[in-house]
Amino acid sequence: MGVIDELKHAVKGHILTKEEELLPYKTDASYFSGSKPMAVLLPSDVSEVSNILKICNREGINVISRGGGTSLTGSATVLTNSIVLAMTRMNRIIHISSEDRYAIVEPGVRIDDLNYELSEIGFMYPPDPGSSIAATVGGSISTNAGGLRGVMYGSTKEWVLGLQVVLSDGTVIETGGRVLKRSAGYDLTALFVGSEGTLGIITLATLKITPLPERIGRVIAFYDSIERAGAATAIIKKSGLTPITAEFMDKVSLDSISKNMGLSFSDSGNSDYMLIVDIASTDESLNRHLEKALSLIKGTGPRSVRIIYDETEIRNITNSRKGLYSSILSERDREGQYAVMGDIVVPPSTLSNALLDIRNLVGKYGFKVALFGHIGDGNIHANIIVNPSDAKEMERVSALMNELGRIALINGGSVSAEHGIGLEKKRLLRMEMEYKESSRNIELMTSIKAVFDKKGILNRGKLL
Amino acid sequence: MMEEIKRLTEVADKCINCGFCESVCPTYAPAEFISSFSARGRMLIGKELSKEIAVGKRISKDVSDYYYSCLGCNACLQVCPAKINAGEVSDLVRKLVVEGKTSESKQRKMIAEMIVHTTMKYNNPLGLKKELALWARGLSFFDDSPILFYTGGMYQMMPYSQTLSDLQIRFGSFFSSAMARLFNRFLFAIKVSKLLGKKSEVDKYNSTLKDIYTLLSNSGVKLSYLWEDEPYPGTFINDLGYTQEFKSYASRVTELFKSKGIREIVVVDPHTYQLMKYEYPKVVPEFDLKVTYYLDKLDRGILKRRAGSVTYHEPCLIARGIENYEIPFEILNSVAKVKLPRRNGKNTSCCGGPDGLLFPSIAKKISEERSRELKREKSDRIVSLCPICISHLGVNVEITDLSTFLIEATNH
Repeated sequence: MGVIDELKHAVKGHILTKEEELLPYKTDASYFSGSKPMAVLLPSDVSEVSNILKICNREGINVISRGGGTSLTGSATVLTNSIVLAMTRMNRIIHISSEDRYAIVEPGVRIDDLNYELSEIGFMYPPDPGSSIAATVGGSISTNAGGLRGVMYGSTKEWVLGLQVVLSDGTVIETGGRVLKRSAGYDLTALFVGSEGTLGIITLATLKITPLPERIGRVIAFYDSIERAGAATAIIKKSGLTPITAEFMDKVSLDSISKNMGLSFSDSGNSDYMLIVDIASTDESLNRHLEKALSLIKGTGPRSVRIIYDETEIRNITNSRKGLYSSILSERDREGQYAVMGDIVVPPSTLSNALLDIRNLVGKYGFKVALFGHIGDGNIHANIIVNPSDAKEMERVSALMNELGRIALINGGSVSAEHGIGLEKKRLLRMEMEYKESSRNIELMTSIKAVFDKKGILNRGKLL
Repeated sequence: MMEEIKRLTEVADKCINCGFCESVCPTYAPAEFISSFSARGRMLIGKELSKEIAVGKRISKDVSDYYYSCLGCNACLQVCPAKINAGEVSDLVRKLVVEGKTSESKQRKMIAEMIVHTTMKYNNPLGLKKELALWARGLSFFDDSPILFYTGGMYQMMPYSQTLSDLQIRFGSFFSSAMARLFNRFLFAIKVSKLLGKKSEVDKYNSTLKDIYTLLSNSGVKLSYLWEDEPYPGTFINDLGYTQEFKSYASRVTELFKSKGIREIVVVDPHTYQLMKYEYPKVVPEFDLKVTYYLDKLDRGILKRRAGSVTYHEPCLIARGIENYEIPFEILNSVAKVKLPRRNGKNTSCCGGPDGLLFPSIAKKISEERSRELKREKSDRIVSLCPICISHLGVNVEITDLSTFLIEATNH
């Protein structure tokens, strides 16, 4: 029996090998073009995943696990001699406990689907990446995804209690569990979060859940100055008020959502920056908190500021913001251009300076760039519009990314906030460790990888 | 054809491959999560096809199933942040398939051609004639009225097409191929399909048409009717990508209406409305017939509010196909307490019906999933207003046509 037949048997026929079936799996949402996989396997349970890994480990075949295929750094992009493990058939919500506040779910559950089910009982799973409609639980754990609610709830690592993982040799292990406290040796659960499928394949996750806020209201403001927009959220947080989301978009971003979503603001006065601050509170205190946020924002000198109560307007702005990466191609100057997405984070108190430095940096390179991000937790995105097949242009993008990363590091932040490392940021990861004089971290990571995956069959060539 | 390739390139090139469309595409999960059967896969394959066809290659790969299985429901467009229409990519590739630019599965081709041939010959895809007008026996129409009551045979065909779909699921592709081969060779054999309609189902759909007629009649609208001469609107021909045939067929239907002195067509289902209002004017020169949905003619004063709750399954073409057509919801909301399922409004879910003949097992799974969603609201009734939705969802849930529900509201 050939290896493909053996794999076919392992997934009970759920295997794709025809060229036209393989094509959509070559790459993810990043700009990397990828190679055609040998096969795509669609397992339905942990035993099938285990059998697949036993075969691949024996044969030295690279295994790339894939959720919603929404990676922006090439984590799920296919390199040569690889199979893709598409986890989308494993999409059951196994159990929800509102008493113990956890949900046990399979990796292929999409984040919005999980949150819909949780909302029916008044709960939510807070990590909320822009791609939550498509991103899966497994994929978002693998990249330690963040999102819009990071300012209040942090990123995915804060919300994973335990995992079931299949190791490279097919062994199935359980880490963590259903309890909020655990002091039992090394935290292997945390090790798998953000490991981008390089240490094992997640087949089940126990996630922490929390009650939905009673009410949410929004303040929007328009600025001519990026430093002032950057200062606003730090001032709000200093006052003791924690927004549930705090986002910003620049003019290129606003032009894009205006063209694609038909969303425009009569009070923007052609301003260069928009700030969106959401406050979660109780029925009784929401207005008081919104007024407080409004007053604090007014103090930072915006061109205009107002509170929004209209649910449709709130939803439209949120959806536009969440789809900003995908809609940005409307701003390109010529066909063939794509978006390369920068993703750095700085302490919010340094945002004002960091944003000014970034704006100047972008101006120096002359690319068309959309600046936006989760300003509340200091996370800034730079969508650079370039032609990825133009080597010279990409060299300059690489230099820009280096400088962007350096701004993050100088200000006490990181070169990667929430998109992981993938193919794109391997060099930047090393730069961060060197900057911190902690290059030993890379050696430790390499050693850890070797312990979990001796033959190097798990997402080879990514992260390290 | 160059225009279609150019358009395909233009649309596909704007896609950044974020995957939002895949998460809402109704055919993705029922096709065992194979990406090529999702909006995202169709877009990515379309991108490759456009590149290859543009340099003169004929594509030997059979990709036709991916595009023929697209329901045209436009759920993808609603969530696409770049407002790219993956459904349009399916339309364009289907046209390329028909033009022979790519190969296609013989079985699908036979079924598609069977539908097109029989419609062109008999003015109805199933060769129905007498069966079309049974519902109207004993009813009065105004022969001189320029306002036509136009069913397009859509409600009347449901009992027959549902049985065909069931047979395909039961007997598999062998049945489909054999049936299509037979009908393509001996077109008249299609008339055997009239034996397939269950009497109880025939009575149900005929009764619905009577309810629509009664609502209009009670609203004081004077209508003419074409009885057995009523042609099918040509939806399938257009959807399957037979551009030239559709153009010719639509012109023929329009001429027939004009020869009868018709000035306004009152349609009773969303598919016919969409086709005649938006597609006919594109292909029929100087198309000047007024196309009206029957609910627009309704005198709302005859309706009374009733007790109980109702879950509304909003058909795709009402929620997304017809710009801002919120009249059905408004009317329903005025007579009952309406509950909406998770996917509603612009994000409503397809019933699976458009895949009923070509991909019956995909259609069945979509219908089952949507039915679960509708039942979850635990209303007293489930209501919709498209014969295809009623037929496909009706297998799993008890579902009432809006017209029947409104008739009950007039008698309440």
